[in-house]
Amino acid sequence: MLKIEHLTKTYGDKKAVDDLSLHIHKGEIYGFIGHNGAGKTTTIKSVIGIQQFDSGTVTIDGISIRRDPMKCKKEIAYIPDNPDLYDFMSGIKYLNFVADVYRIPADVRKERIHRYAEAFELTNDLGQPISAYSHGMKQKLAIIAAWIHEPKLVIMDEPFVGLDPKAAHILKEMMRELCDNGGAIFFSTHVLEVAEKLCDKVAIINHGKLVKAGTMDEVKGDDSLEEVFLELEAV
Amino acid sequence: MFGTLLKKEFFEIFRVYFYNEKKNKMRSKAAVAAWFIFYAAIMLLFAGIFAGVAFSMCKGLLDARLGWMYYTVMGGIAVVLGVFASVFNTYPRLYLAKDNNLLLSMPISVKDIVFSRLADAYLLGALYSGTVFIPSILIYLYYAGVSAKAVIGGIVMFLIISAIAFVLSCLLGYAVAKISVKIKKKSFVTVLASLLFFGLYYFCYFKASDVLQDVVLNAVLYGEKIKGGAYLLYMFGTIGEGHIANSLIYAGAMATICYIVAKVMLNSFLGIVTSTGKADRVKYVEKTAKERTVFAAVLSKEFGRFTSSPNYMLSCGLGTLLIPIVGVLALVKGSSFLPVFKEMLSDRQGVFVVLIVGALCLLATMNDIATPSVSLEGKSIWIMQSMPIDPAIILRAKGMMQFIFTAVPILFTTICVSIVIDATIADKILIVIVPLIFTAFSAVFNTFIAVKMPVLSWTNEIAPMKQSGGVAVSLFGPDAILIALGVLYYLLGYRIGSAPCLMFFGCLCSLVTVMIAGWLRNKGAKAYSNL
Repeated sequence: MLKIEHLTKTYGDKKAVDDLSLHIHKGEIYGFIGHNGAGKTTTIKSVIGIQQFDSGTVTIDGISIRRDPMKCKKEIAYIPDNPDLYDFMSGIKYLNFVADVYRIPADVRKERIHRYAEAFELTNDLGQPISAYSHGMKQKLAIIAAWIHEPKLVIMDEPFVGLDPKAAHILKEMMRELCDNGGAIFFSTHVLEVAEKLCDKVAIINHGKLVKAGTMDEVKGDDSLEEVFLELEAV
Repeated sequence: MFGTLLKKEFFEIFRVYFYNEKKNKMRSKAAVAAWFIFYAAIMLLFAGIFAGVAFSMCKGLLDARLGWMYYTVMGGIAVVLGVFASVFNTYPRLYLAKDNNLLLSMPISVKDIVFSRLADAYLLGALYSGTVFIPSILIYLYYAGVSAKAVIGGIVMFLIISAIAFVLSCLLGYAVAKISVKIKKKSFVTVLASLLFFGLYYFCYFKASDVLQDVVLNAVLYGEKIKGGAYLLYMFGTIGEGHIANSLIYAGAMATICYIVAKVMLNSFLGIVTSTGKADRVKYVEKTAKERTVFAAVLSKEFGRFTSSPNYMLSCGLGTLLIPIVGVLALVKGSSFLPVFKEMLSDRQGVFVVLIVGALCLLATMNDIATPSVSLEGKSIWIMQSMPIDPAIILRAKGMMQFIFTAVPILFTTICVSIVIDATIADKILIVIVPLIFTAFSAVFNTFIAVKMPVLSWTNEIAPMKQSGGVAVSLFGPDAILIALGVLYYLLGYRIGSAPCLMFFGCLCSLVTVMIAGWLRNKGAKAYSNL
């Protein structure tokens, strides 16, 4: 589904991402962990095509994000770490805007908005301007917008930040459901307990370099993910 | 702390001069110097225009021993310009800054926050007042001779003028803030309140200006009358000449007014900033939405952005309201002043029509909605960039916004002018068509500037709307092509006549428009997706 090969991105003299390669297959929830400034967000932004990278390739379902970004973007959805949405729109206007861009038929979008907004208990607030939303509500809206076109691949940067426990639980269920239906999830997180319980595979990045990747058992063995992470950080 | 905040405010205003947004790094010292030279050149250009006005007036009035009248007139112009530059800034800079909550959560006194922002408003007003008044002082000193009294008088008067501009700006900012807290449709009411203020202000100014013009023409006759009937104006003018008692009275009065205004702003700041305002909860009713094309969706989003912000509407779209007023004026008064104008230029064949078209084109540059449109995406630019939207469509929508909001009033006004003007059918048609072509040019040019000179990191939306380098370029850029029209007429117009000359200019303008549009479709789209 998502193939990252030898991805390198530098800012001035600093290598933010250094020769990183990852393969995410259909049906996988892939966690991406690392300390602050390790290169997670840079990798994610490069993958979704909103940041140029120096070398390497990124393909989504065999299509290069560089060569055909439009085709790739139709298949993916992205949720950033801090969802700055259009404050001047109401929640429902924003969702309809996103649905228009993805050409979702009116009756289909209506059903999806209803389903997801009900799940996140956001229905009553959809008429409100986004400027009146809390951080958590904006996060929920961004998740609904990401799921509205039923993407094959969802890429998220710290998706659980700001979500209440119930919303976090719903998101985990949505992630699993999407993967069970042949999709894939690639997300960064600092919450190692969540990664440990939720992810099929995990990758650890340190100073832009991939230090360990594989199935959860391959990465952590008999230890906890936290122990492995701290051990690798210390090296 | 005040100094630190003031430094932050100034850095924000001149951020583009110090920081290269595209390369994400500070500019070199040479580049910073170049930017400041560019800014100074623009200000000097402004100052030169007003110096011309001062020059034409000063000697005559000094000969008639009416130096005070010279200062009254030039001081009045300086106040108008100072108010114009800062009046729409006070409300957003003081109350809508994104870092208000952050600063209030820190151990910083409210006084420091408010006064650093007020100092910023004062500086902006003073800067623009200065472009009128500093050349006025220099010209006065040139004719009247340099003396300590005249120099100090000029400086004191400049300080008083900047204080007047500051007080007026603060009062409007405060009034708009108070209204915003109490009403629901904030954007439109704010625009209406601001326009009302501006209308009243200019009504009073032009009334006073008419009186002053008459006074200047009959200086000696009215000189004594003003001293009797409008003594405050007389006192105001004498400050520049170095009248100590009048200077002290005005300075004392302005200091008191400034103190009261600053006190009111300070005491109300916390209440206004922390107020959530009056907004009824909008009940969501589930319904089937109408499907739109991608372009229609993006255009609608741009429309929503424009109409949601009173600052955006006032700073970049005021022409939409003002251009039709020119059309109505032409219909009502055109038959009386256009023939006089034509008669004055009767020795130069066709220049009358060319000048009218040039003036209409200039009107079209009043709107620069497209210029800050990319910058205003700010931190939410990821939405457009991560979705499957061709960036060329996004840029087309931004340009189209400006075109729609300008072309409709321009069409109305050009039709009004062509109805009342005494010209050939061909000229009448060109009076309508050429400004429309120029409107299209202006829209694509401003979109080009939007992509080339974006400011994506800002704490106050006023920065990309009024204080960016891009805005300066888009204000003066289209004028360059109008100068081309002047040159074209000067070189060819006499021989080929106004209609062929305008046709040629229209074709040239169309060609440049198509070329820029082509750039936007390809390189511009690529640049946008890499921002």
